[in-house]
Amino acid sequence: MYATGIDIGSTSGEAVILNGNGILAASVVDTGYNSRRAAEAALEKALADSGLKREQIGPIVATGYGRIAIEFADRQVTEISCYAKGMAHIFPDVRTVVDIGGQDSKVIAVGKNGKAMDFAMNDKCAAGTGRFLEVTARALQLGLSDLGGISAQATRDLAISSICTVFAESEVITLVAEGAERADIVAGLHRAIAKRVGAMVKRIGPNPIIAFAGGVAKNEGVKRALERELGISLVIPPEPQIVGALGAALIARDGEG
Amino acid sequence: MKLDFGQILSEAEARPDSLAMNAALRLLHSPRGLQLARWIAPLDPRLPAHFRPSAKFTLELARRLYAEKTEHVVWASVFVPCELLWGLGLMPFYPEVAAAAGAAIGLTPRAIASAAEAGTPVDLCTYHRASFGLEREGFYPSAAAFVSTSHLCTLAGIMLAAEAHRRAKPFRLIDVPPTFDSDSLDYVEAQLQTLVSDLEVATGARYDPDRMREALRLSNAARAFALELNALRVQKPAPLRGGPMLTVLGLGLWILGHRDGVSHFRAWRDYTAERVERRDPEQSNQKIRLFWLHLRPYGESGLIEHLENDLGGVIAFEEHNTLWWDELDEARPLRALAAKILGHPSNGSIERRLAMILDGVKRYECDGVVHFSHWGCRQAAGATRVIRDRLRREGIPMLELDGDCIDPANVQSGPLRTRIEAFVETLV
Ligand code: SF4
Repeated sequence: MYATGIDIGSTSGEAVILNGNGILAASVVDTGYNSRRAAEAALEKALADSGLKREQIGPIVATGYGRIAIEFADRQVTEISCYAKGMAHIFPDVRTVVDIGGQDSKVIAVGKNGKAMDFAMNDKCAAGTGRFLEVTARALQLGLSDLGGISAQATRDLAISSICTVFAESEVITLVAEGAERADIVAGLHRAIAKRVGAMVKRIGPNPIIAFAGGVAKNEGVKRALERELGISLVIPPEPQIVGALGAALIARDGEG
Repeated sequence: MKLDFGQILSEAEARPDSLAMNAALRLLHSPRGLQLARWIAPLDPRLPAHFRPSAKFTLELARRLYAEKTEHVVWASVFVPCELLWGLGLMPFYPEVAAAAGAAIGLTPRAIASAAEAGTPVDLCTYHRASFGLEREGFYPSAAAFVSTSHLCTLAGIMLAAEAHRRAKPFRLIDVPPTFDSDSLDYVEAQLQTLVSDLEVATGARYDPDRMREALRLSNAARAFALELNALRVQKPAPLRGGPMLTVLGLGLWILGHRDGVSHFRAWRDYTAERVERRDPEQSNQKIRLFWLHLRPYGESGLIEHLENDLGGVIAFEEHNTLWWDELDEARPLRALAAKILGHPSNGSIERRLAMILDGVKRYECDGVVHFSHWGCRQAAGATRVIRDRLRREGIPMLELDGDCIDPANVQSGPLRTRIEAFVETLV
């Protein structure tokens, strides 16, 4: 049986098909406006990569904020449990997972067996999430993937004081109008996110090994800022975006959670 | 006002959001309608027996508040013991509890909008914002006087004082010290004596020691049943769901000292005992037991229903159903009520609230604790950090949920569901 996990977040959707203990196929698609369609697309893409037919795959666990829309899944499990499980599979010694997603950020304390023990999530608003970066990148006329590289060129510490995404956007526009360098502004934004997420890590209780997952983990600038904030190096899996789907597939395989 | 349901329905077609508001408003201001409802509703076979005393009480109260002797109505904040007002022959009106009832029947979005139109700041607790709007829309009865305590909810005193000022009626504040000793008891008792005299002047009521003693006797009788009810809830599986218990608890603040309070708690005790005896819990799927702190969203968030119906989490007990006071001394009623006020677990040192929570978790054998932090409520949410740290030291997991009991627009169902689901997943 090929256990399958599907993670539908606010910006991207992922599917992972397991073959025993290893990943047979994985896919990433844009969520768009329809979670169910994104789930279908992610699954179809992973199936095409694996060479399997739909009838050949086994139990499916859906996770992510779009999980309730995935009616064809056998079970729905929260992304908290799935990220814990997925990350413990990749890095068995990890006890804390940070995930910065499109519309929420979370910090999860992981037990020895990959079970989520405790968690903290960002408050109601988009501060400290991928959306915060997306909105402010737009204000700077930059693509999301440009941010990490640009922030490395920063020469001075610019503070972004607003934690609200909307206010931070206007703050960025003001800084641009005042002639501030884009690199300094971007580095300031990364520090703002790192402060917010760092506070959640401290709330959960930091551990010596902290793993970073989610699309934002690919942003070197946020990684650096968070490492500075926490005073430790973060471990990042090769595919940080698929950790949730991997955890869901593992839970589907083990029938637990 | 004449009740014309045909007209209400045609208005509702034009403005669907106004249906609940108009129907409720018309009913409240129709003494005949309320009298009829008061007789018919408790006889409705669909109404379970344990809800009948409270239905009768609520409808009778509404009739009296709006139609009869309005000079005997006193608005009070929730921490003013209702026994005092019943014992004086007065009718307590608790705006915060009425706001929760308004939220449960869908009245608060318009009430909150109405308060906003009048310039009420949005960072105030919505119990008070909705109350202000409901008052503005004609839902709240007139009053002869306004009373608040100073402890726990500071906003209540300010809002009631402002309302009293607007209506040119007297406002009295009972100053409650954070310590529970004989000096504090003397101090609060003396204030209650002055308050009684002031209320006599404001309402024309007369202090009758026998009537006051009777109110305390009724309160004690109800308390005895409530203690038995709480003891029954220790059982595993939990005989009751916590969701409805979080909804009816507001009534406990209003009904004690009234004869219907005795029948209300007796009916709930009997109902629970029967469930225990038949081993027939309200919720069959019980995977984990929770202790619930503070309040719940009263509108349709689906949060608690999802927890109890789908996730197998049962709320075994609620902080605010804890009976923190001793039997009231009928021989010294005002001193007994002073002790009830001072002894509130959230008054004074946080250690008192912590002790109550730890006792509750132990007694009801709970696997975890949920704190629902209501927007704008400093007294409840201000302590969550300390509570969380202490519980963690004791190995008791705690989940903090941020939301709003009164304003459905401020309750984000998706994120709240994810949090509660994840919490249950960490516990099973
Ligand atoms: S919820 Fe808090 S702030 Fe609001 S009325 Fe109650 S005690 Fe006061």
